[in-house]
Amino acid sequence: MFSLFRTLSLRYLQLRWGLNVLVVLSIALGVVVWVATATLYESLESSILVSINPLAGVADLLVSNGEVGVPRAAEARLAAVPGVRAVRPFLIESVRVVGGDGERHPALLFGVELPKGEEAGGWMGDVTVSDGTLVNYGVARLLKQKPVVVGRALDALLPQGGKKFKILAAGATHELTRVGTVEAGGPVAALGGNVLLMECDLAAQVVGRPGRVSRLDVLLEPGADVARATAAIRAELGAGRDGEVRTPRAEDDRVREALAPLKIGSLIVSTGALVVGMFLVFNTLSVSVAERRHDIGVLRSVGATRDQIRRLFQGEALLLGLVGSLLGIPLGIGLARVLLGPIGQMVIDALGTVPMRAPPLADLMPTLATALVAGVATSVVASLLPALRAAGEEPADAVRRVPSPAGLPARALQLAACLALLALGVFLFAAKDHLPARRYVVFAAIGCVFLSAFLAIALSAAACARLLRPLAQLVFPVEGRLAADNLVRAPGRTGLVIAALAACVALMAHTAGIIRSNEVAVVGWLERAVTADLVITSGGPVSATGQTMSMPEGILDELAKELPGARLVPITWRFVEWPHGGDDLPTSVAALDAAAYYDANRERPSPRPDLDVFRRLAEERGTAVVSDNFAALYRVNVGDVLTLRGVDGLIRVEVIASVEDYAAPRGLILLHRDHYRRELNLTVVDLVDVYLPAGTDAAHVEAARAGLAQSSLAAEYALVPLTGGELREHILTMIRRVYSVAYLQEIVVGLVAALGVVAALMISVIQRRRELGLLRAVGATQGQVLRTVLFEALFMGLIGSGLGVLFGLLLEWYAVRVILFEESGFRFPVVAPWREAGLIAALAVATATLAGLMPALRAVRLHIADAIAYE
Amino acid sequence: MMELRGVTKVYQQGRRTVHAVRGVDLRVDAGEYVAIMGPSGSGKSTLMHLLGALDTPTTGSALFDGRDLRAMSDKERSLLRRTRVGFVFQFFNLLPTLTAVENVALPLLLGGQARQAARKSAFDALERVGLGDRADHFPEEMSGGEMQRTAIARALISEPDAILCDEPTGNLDSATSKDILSLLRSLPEAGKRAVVMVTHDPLAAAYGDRVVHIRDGLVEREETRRAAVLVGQDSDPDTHLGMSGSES
Repeated sequence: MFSLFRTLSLRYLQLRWGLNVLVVLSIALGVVVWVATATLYESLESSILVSINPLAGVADLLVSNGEVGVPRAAEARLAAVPGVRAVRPFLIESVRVVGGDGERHPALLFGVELPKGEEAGGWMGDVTVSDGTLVNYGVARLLKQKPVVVGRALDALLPQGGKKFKILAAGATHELTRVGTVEAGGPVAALGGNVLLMECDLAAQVVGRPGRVSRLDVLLEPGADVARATAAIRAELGAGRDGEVRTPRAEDDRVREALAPLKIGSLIVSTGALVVGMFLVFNTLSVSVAERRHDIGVLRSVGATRDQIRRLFQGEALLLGLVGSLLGIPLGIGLARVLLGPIGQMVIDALGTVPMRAPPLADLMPTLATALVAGVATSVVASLLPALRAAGEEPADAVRRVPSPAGLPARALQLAACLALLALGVFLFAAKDHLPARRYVVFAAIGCVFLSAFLAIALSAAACARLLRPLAQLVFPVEGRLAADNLVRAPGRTGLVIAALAACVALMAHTAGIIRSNEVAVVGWLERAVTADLVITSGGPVSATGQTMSMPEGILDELAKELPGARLVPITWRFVEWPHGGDDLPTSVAALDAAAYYDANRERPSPRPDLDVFRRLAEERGTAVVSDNFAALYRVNVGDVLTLRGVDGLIRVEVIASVEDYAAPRGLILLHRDHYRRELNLTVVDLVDVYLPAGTDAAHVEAARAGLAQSSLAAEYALVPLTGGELREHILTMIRRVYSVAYLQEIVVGLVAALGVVAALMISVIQRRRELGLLRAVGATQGQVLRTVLFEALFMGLIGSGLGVLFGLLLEWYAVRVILFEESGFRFPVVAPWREAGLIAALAVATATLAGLMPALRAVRLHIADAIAYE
Repeated sequence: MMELRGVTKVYQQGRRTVHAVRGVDLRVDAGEYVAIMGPSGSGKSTLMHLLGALDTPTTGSALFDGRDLRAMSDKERSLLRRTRVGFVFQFFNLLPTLTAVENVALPLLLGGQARQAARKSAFDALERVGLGDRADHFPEEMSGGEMQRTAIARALISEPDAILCDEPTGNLDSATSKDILSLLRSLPEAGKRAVVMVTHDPLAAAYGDRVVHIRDGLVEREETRRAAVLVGQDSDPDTHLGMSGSES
């Protein structure tokens, strides 16, 4: 078979190298998107896992309690639990280090029990602290100099020529003494080298949480029963009063669960790129079968079996898939490396994680193997129908050039698949509440409908071309008519390519729609609810959890002096554990001065209608207001009681209202800070809303902002004051940046579709060689032939874009009203992104037309006599 | 060796039903050279396809060495074509991507023979038809006569029991036609290999031992060459067209 393959297939692949290069590129691009997305996702997941639970993997069990922390006193109690070998306190806090250049560099402060002797290379990963460093540490501690061991990467940034340097932590500046450096290896290396190591108790003082730690790491005796030890520890923790115990894997799974929508979303786009590629391979091979029909007849007449014919075509597809995949893998890794910088920075800005690092090649092997298999399988699956069709040719018909049957079975199959996928999608959507893994079912439902629409578009392409024909004929009587006719009579060749274009336009239009829906909802909310003249944060502009730093409460007095007459509303953000549905959910809590918020807003010209709930929040202890998305997501109603884990155990609050709020993607609980100052350890402020005296105009607001920004107070605390307008613009920029990655993926899908246009038109020129030759023979100019082919490309672009925009809007509706609602509880309005969709459609039409240029030039260069020769 | 018994063949051409063969009985024995003659659309090519297992009858039986082709699986029919039947077509039907020697080697490669061995056999077959020096040429580099010789070499390479030719000279000039017909005339071996040639050209048909006239899917009549003509295979039919005939 190999000899046959080498003789027949390789020669044919060489002959039609242009088409086959397009097939290889289609597969390669699909694999590029797959590999790059998977690599970036792995890097992101690892970065987030490390940031949330650094070094979690070295313990058997972890005891944590959100940002409230675990009492250090629990350490001794847990150490006495049977089966427990050791309990290690662990504190982690994001801080800023004032470098030698005066800049504030992000770093992670670890409070640990400094490893000694045989433990040095043990539970703290590969961090080794030399004996000399430990001696220095002891000396500095005796001198009360707040000793700290510095990661080598960070050390290079510190002021040279002395041991003292400053950090900003929990809103205060601290002077620390560098007693040595450590080279972070193993799991610690994942933290990026910007680490500070201190004794746990000292670190707890520095971050303003004396007596508490972020985590207690529990090491069990070898062979200990993990379940029994977990139960005993849970009992010792007062059934969750002091924290919750989990395995590191369970902790990681909680993070992975939160990241699942992102992973599914990227997987869908990656798969989308391969699916589009698959249809293009199918298209090209189908045409190859049609083109080689006579050759197939000759082969059959000299004794080739059906199986041999099938294997020849599948072998070609396998070879093309393999070459495409092998090309795509290194390009995908390269693309991921290129994107790691900007995306990594975006993630740090948005989430405040440790830097994203390119995963080692060895860790990527499963991903690369999957991509290779996916690429090859895509090609082979795409070849199945054409290969079977080739094998099914009757030798006598093929050799006599009897026309093929009308292709009804293939179209009937396509229609059946289209309807079956639609039915499956509708069923999954309707039954999602009764099926396991509801989240995945929601994605699967739209995946089925998307594929169904893809096939439907392919089937309806001829009908659309028929509708376009009168218009085409009106504008360009000959060329337009011929181009439209060609589309009408060759739906098999062009339908799938038009569908691929439509899929790309639909994906991009739906992303634009989601962005617009986000923007409209968030801007409206900001205008209605965020009424402050200035919003002040420290370290960076406001973001979800990222680069901002906490400020000491004392800053409120200093701000009051700096901004006389202004009302200040301090807000502190906390992740608090909320026992719900059998598990602890880390939940966003905004502890604000509800009384100040109420008073400040009451004086505004048109206060929000639900303002009174903030008065009740301030006056009635034990109450909470939840965001609408929290209420929708967890089906929480007014009057329900929520239980949160605080410093001294559980806090019970009654929900008195739900309000519009888009600050937290999994919902927000608002509490009056004065009621829970101690229970939630609210010693710092994360954000201050400033309400200038009533009647202050925009110019004075700007003057106040500029004055504050240039003050010594701002310099000391790295304050970033933003006006309402600036805040809105900043948040809109963040929204757009988050979706920019999706755009990038979709552009690659668009490239694959453009390759499809090139392939379809090259096939058209090859198939219509004789017809084009006849046109030239009866007097058509080269320009007319060129225009005929280009118009065909233009019509493909127009039909694909039109159908794509329509389907994109449907997709947007589903994404906004179903997926986003399922994931976040947000009820965004569905806003049609007409301007963006128009631009995307115009780009797609232009791309399709440009893609037609090469085949058109090829058509122009046809030698007339050769083209019209019979054999 | 090859036999059709009450064979009909009906197929669809678009919306039109074509009755290509309407009930034909025909037998071709080993060592015979039979010409099937008839105007365009008379069903002669269909008849040849049925004889050579390229197609199966709608009704009736097509037998090869006593075995009903319809009772054979597609794979068995493929093997039969590969090893026991050789085809020669009007338009040569050479694969344009392959050289002459590769085209000739195709049946052997399909049979799983190693590439080098297949090439060697193919080269020998090309030598046999006088094209040893054109082995590495592509079809587009060859004349019509050379292409048809290559096709004959391909038909011969498996040393088949039957060679079926469909208008082998229909696309050639008269001088080349004569060469090709002489070559074909030399192929039947007494009691061994049969040759069936479909043609509408009386001069070509005259090379046959027997001429079967087809019209509208039916055998109109059969003619047998006079015994005197059959003396000596090299006698020139162009100069002697005497036939004894019988109405069917």
